[in-house]
Amino acid sequence: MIYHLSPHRLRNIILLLASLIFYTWGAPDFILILLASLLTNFYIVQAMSRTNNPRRRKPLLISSLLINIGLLAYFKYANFLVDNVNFILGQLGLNALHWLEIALPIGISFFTFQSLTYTLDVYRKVHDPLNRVQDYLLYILMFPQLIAGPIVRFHTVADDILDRRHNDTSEEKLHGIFRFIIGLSKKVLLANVLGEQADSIFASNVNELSPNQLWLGIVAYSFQIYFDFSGYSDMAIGLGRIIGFRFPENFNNPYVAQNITEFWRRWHITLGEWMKDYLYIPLGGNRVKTVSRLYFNLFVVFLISGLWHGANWTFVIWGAWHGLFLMLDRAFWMKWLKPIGKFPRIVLNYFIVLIGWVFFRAESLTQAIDYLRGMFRFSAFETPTLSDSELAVSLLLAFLFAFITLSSTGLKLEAWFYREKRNAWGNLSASILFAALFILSLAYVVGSDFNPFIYFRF
Amino acid sequence: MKRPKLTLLLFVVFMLMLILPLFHTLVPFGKIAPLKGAVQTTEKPEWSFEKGYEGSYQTQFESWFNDELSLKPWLIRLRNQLLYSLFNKASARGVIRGKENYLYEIAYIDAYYGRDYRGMDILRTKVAGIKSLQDYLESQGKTILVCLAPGKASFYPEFIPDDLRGEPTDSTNYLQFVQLMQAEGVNHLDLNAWFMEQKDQSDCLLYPQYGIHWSYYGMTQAVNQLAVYIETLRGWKLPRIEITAMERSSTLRYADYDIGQGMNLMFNMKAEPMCYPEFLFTQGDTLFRPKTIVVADSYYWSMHNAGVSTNLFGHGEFWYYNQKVYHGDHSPHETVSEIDFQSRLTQTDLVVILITEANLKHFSWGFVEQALTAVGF
Repeated sequence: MIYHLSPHRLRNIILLLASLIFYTWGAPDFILILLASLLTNFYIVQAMSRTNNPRRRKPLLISSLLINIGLLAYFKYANFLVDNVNFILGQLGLNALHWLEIALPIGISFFTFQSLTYTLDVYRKVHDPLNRVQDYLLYILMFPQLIAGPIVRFHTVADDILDRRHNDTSEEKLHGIFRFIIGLSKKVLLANVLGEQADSIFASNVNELSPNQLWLGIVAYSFQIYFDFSGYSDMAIGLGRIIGFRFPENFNNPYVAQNITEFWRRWHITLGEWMKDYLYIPLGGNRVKTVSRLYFNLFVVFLISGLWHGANWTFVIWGAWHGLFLMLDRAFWMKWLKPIGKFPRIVLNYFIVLIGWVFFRAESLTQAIDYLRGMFRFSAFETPTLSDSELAVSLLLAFLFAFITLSSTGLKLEAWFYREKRNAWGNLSASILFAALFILSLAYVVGSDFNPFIYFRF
Repeated sequence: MKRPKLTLLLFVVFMLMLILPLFHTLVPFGKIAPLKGAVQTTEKPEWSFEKGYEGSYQTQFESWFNDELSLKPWLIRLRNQLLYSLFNKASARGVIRGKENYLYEIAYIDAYYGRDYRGMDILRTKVAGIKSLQDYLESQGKTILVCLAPGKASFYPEFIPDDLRGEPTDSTNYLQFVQLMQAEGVNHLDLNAWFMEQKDQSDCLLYPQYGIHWSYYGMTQAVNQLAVYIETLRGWKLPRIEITAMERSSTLRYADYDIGQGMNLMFNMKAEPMCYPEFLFTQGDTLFRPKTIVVADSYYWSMHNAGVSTNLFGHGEFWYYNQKVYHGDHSPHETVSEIDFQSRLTQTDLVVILITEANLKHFSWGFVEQALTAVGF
């Protein structure tokens, strides 16, 4: 409200203040470190942009990268590293290192990657740096996408930070509200219900559960993570639209992908794009002399992508699993699967993704392996029953919305929900529907204690 | 209306809708009934730099703010109603929706199937304790008795949902308690068995569909059964409940809708007509009103509120879960830990331990042990 009632020249300041309050409220013990690192980075990049001398630019680039990656490495991976070193020391019969656990600052993986794109885009001269420190802070700290993305690469949003009056239309804002409500509904009405089931199954002793329950748990989780994360992205994109930003899309019906390569063009698109632009291509990308180097590049990108999601071997294995199928896609998998048809390929790919989610969701490698073993204990299969009708309906809806675009009616329905411009009747009918969804979501948020956002921990 | 004007208007409406919960909290308008049942609320946190830095202030503030939202009761009712109407789900803690819309609490179903069974050793110790206390009190001219209130799962086993059913067993706290009390000669009145006997004979429902306690009518019958039992034990002539008029109504009252209320729905559930008697306690010079301590769970609330603590008992005290002491004359309540336990015991004629099967796992809530200690055992 304050933002919209303010003159344009004050809007960035208002947005920055709101973002600072937002982050300080959630991570008060990290805000000063964050601000100090951002200010340092801003002036380093400023200095880098002012010179064309490579001998000066390179060290400045490296300093900026070290600050960003160093913070991420320290806060996200130091505990993991020490745990592994201590494990090895223990195996060798040596004393463990003394170490105080470090708390993970909320959203660090996302804003670090954004900060890196700022440095690299300016270094590559893709875009000029921002002249005012408050604009730079706004780019990194903008609250709608600060803690769970989408990862907005600097050059895609730089001009809008300086002037976004061209986006300041009521149609754009109304679409933003609709988009926000779509995201909220996905998160609250689907992801939370399915998450409750997945959490309760993963919290149990998996060796005591039947294969049916284990399959139910991982299928519920696959939909939970999709609707949770894509719901959050919708909310961020919607809020962005309301304040005049056009953030990039992050999801495009990933479960209808026919292979893992396609899956990564549809899932967490902004991370995939980031990895491609700032890691895969610098490694040589596709333009390498040998096939083995190409596979190496792909595998490294996905190992790092896995590790980006969390400091645990489970995430590394998850990344490696996807990396493996990306290599296989290139080698023969896509060719081999061509004759079986579209739907079997989608089912098979969903199955591969599900196996990956077991590693992603499990607390440890042991749990993941036990879980997988239990899923395939065919002798213990029972007739599936689902006595919880809310869960059954949520699963059915999640399944429908995840795969709906396979039909032409589904595509039309999706287009209607996400339509940016509507006629008067379209706006009125959409408003009634989205108002009802908003009230329903609000009732679920207020009435339910179970309301975690999964991607906050990455 | 031109499209930009309409979209602007719709945008403003949505923005107002977004701030409505906050606005309504600051400037309440319209009447929103508060939530019923046990609702845990968070206190407003006091600011300190340490709390703010470690984040505990923020967590508590968010929880407090959520509780303070004036639209919260309405939103919770909306959610509960949808869960109930669409998915057969009861949103109150521990409440189970059984067949044909009969509501239970899970503890009652667990007790009926012996899932909370404490084992013979513990039950024997409990019964031995009460027998010792009974012998001591008898030597002092006083009486103690155990009154087993009915349990909803025992009364309506046919409506327990299939997924919560179990194998019938003798290893339940209720069945073993009754056997042991019979064997040891402990004074007891088994109203659970009596209610089951009367289930098909009574013109009025003894147990409600949406309540967890005996019906209001059932309570009046239980009072008279208790009076008869005490008379048999002691030879006193006690007052009785005399019904003077009877109304049948589908608008449930008193505790007949207590789980229903706790579910906080938008609309009341459709109910079978229940009996609502008007009654008097019989009067007469020959009648004796023993000074009584009733150590009881919530089953005694309907009796206490109906005047049993003053009209059936003289200066009756209601020791709720052996923690709080409520008086029949509505004088301020006390806590058991603060009163002179021994002197209260000395002054009383009668002690009644009124307990339902779901609470038998916590039998007497420490009362027997405290009493034995107080009298020097």
